[in-house]
Amino acid sequence: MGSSFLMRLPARGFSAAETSLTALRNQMTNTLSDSRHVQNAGYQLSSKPKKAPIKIRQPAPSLLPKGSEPKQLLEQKLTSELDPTGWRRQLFQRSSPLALRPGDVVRVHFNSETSHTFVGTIMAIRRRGLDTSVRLRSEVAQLGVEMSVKVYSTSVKTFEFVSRAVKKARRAKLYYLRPDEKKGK
Amino acid sequence: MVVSRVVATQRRALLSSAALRRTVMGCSEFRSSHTTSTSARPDIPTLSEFVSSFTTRQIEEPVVTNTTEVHTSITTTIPIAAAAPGHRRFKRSELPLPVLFDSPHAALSRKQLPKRTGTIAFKRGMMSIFDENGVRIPVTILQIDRVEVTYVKTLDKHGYFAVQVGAGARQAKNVTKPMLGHFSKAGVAPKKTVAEFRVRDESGLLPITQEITAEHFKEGQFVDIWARSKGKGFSGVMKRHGFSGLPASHGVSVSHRSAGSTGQSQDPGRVLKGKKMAGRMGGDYVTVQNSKVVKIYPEYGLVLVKGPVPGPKYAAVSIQDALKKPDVE
Repeated sequence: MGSSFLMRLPARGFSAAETSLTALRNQMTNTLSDSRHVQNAGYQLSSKPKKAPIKIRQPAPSLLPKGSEPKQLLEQKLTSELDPTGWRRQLFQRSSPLALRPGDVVRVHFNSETSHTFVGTIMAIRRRGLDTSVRLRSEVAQLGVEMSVKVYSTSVKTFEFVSRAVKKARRAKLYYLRPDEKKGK
Repeated sequence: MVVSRVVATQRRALLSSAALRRTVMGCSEFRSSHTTSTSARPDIPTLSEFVSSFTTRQIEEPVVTNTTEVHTSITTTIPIAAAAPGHRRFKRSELPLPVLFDSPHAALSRKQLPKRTGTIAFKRGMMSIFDENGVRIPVTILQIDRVEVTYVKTLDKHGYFAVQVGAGARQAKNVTKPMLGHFSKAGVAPKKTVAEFRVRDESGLLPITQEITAEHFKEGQFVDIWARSKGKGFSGVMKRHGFSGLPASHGVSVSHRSAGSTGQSQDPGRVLKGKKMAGRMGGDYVTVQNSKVVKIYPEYGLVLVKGPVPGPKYAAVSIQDALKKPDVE
């Protein structure tokens, strides 16, 4: 600071007041406001043109109604197709007044030409919507035969109610009707 | 006055049968450009002549004058290699040269590919349906949700033919800017998944923004389905490789589900590479071939396919015409 500053003092005589601190400060500010002492950034902020915003298209609505599950939709559709009159639902829905119960005897009529019917006691009703099946047991020529019938199958013509259970079965699945294996031996 | 362009036959003349045999069959002899014309053999080209013969083409352009008669013509040389579109790597030379075994063109001719593109579907669970004979068929429900073509790959530019397809919908705020730009360029809304399907040739390509619906498939056709299988985590050797484990009792200590021995003794004295051991199972791509399309519901965009399909529910799954069955349509 020393020599360079002194060199910038005006070449004239100084009074005592001028050489005081305030005079020096004034000199300093005058000197400092000189444009030569202002520090430039060294670069220029360029004004780039802003990029065009990306055009975002709206999606089309889904074919499925909002909040619906395709499995549910298809099950409803197929149930109305396979069971238009609703007799299957009447026989196998738990709450229906005509509902079949385990222990009842039922005759199944098939669409096949070779095997027309099967009579048996209802051992179990497996309720799974379209996959509902019923397990029937009977003695055919002294041989125990069990048959699992898909209720909504197109090969099933009808279920004919034969007789109600003598005594209400105390459970849903009557696997105890099967003979004990140990007793014979 | 009719302007007619005549492609000069300088190239053909240079590559006469003798010259062609010499140059193609391995003779690297070129006429030196420094030799005098008297001793030079005109049928052997110089190196620059040879190169320019298939990189340039000479056109005789008739000079248009005010007079009605056109007799004068000028010959201009234009480069022909630059005019053909596509990547340099995938372009075929115009010379009658045999196709190299390692070229993309040869690879494409060897590859077995379906004719039509495939599509992405979302797995939506399983159910069963009954056919007209009363037979129960277990089916997987696949939903084809807003599938549109987003990009097309061609032999010229990419070395093979493929259709890139996007499915589903995703909120723009959850899609990265590069992908937003990609969808914007294609002219489609932001998609949830994007996948590519290779096709045999140009006839299998579809225009960008074309929608693919459930009606792309026919009832009774066969399809190949591939997807990432369900992850099973770090699985033991019994689950992963079907090992039998060890007996549950009779003195077996602590190793009931272990692999047992992992090798021999001093020879080879190490565990061989590829030894089946416990590790991460699942989460890899599995292809189920020749699945039958049982039923289609175009009003919901649903395709019912016989049997199971890899992957969990709601996962994206790729379907395409079966490779091992006859072409569809």
